[in-house]
Amino acid sequence: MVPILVIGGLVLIYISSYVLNKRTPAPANGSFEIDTATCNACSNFTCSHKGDE
Amino acid sequence: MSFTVFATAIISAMLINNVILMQFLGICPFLGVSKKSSSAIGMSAAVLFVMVIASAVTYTIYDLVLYEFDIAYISTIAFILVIASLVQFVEMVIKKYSKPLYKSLGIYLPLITTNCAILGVAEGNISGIWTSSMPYFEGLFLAVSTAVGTGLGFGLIIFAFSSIRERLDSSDVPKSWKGVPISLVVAGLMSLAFAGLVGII
Repeated sequence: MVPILVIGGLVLIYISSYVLNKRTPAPANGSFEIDTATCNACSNFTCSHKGDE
Repeated sequence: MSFTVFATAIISAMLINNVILMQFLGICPFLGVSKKSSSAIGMSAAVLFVMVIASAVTYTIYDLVLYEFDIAYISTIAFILVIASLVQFVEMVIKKYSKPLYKSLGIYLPLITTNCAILGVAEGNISGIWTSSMPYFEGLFLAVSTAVGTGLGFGLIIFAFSSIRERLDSSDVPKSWKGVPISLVVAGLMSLAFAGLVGII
């Protein structure tokens, strides 16, 4: 029973942190000063981080 | 707990047991976010930040909850959830209170959730440092020291590698070797060089 409670509690913490993070507004003019991170480590073209060669 | 212990843990984790070149963890950001030095610095700062906090939290959870209730076998899944939650909390706090930090680290924080170097350090702290007889704060100090050293080692290697890649981009490399192939050769040579540091402590 204890492992289920611990895992369940951690899942709840994760869900609440995710929701709180999504509800927190980004700073005004919050565009990133640096280039978008892209990855070319694999050939998975469906990956959202896949960059141009 | 002394400065010697702190310095030894940092140098050992940074140079001798380097997380990328000796343990082969965090290879995806090492290859994927090392095209430019600015990206490498941002990523390594974010990794150091999260790694130190994650190490302290996971060590505490293991010592005070998982070991106490004899459920250490769920440590991996618990650590994954802790790290994922921590990244969300850190992003939220940075978003709310530090605009400059959010602008420089924000894009890398979600990537850290899937960085196995963070989980590797958390697991390594348990398998390598934690013992049932060790006082809590002594173990926590060692775990955090190791995390600082590992994060610095990650930053050192990814910055050095990105600098080399920037120079390689403007070098006369044969077409078939351009990009990832020559980068992998460089990574292998760097790994061999760092293997020479084994045994200095």
